[in-house]
Amino acid sequence: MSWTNARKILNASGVSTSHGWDGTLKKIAENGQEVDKGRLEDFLIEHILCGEKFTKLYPIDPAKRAPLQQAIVSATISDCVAAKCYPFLIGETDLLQGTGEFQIANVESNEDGVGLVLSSVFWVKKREEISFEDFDKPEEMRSRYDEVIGVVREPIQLFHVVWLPHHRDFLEIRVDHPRGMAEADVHGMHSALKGIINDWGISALEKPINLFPAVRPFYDDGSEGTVTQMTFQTTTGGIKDEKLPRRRLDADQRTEAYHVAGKEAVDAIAIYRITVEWGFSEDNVTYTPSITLAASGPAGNGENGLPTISGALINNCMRATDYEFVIDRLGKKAQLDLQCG
Amino acid sequence: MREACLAVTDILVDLRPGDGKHLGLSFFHERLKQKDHQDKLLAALSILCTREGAILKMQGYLDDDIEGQLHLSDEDFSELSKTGQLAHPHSGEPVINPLTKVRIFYTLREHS
Repeated sequence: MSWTNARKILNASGVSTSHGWDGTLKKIAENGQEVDKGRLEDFLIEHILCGEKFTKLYPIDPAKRAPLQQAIVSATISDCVAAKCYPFLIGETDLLQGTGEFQIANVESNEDGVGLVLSSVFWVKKREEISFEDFDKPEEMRSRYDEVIGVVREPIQLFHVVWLPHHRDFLEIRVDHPRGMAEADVHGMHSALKGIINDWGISALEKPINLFPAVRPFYDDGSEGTVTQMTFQTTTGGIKDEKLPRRRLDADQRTEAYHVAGKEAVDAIAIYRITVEWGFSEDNVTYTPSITLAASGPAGNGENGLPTISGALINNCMRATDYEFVIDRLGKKAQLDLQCG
Repeated sequence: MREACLAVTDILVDLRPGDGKHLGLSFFHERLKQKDHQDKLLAALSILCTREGAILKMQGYLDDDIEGQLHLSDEDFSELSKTGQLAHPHSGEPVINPLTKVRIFYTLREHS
């Protein structure tokens, strides 16, 4: 969970925050703030289900909904430390011993659907700045280098979700997608989770829904959030990667002067990667979710030589409110009701 | 100082509609003809950001290894300006020497 979102959740739960995690914990200890742990835990569970996920959608036969739902709710929770600690993270010792094996940490059920939460440990490469003071001769290091960076491989615990919504005829596999995780690893985890579901023998998941049809509609609909990044091929042979860093919700790549002038100078642009962000408030909480749909190029093995996009990176969600908002928007743009038949 | 402020304002007046969303120090520096105005640039920008009826807003972004420009919210930027401390927007960890990693830029205010 990003600190930006964690701060919103803490504030919404009545916790006064400070500079980052350490500063906040110190402030709570010093002020003796009363913290509603139950409410925070509810938020945490919702975030586990919805935050920072790469989601693939698989159409299911409506006749299979009931047996799939039954398989999910009656799944056996793994006898493992992840399940015992859920929804909290496992300790460092267990983390260091963690493997990529998926373990069922819990079964969740709410008004939106039912789902399995699976835990796994993944090792990511991380770059860290090393303070000059950590060296025996700090001044010597300072004279030689502007900064010193170390690369470390660290284990992190991931929570993936197999989710069956009550009101949509597709199954969602949501793989945790923290910063620094390679796309190949994400797809690998998706395949493994799909394999687990197929082993149930209830409904054979085949190809995920192709989400590429949503890319151009997201771009063309100026009322649909703000586009903060897109990559496209021009008919003049250029590949353009345009980005508007998120700092104002009225900063939209669609209408940015440089983009508009460039588009008018060419015959057409073929967009194959897009990030859309939204901002809305509910119950005094500001949500800023985003979706990224990314193909590797403007052409592929899809219909009419178009690329296919097998999953969506749904980012910056705090809870079900913003996640479901994004899925709803995706559904309309990708015309999922038509694709699912 | 007044002349330096006026020189900066003259630059802003010539901006095309829609521009003015991200103006770095180098943008102003390149357009100021007189060295005296260049020397007083930071002070002039500070005045134009803070006086009543300010026409500019000072903002900042963190140069992040992975994400590139991570723009700071007004709240985080204000805290950094006051305390010199910054929690990384993603990790929540304190950023070491944040003033060396945060880049300043200016935005033309809406009413300007």
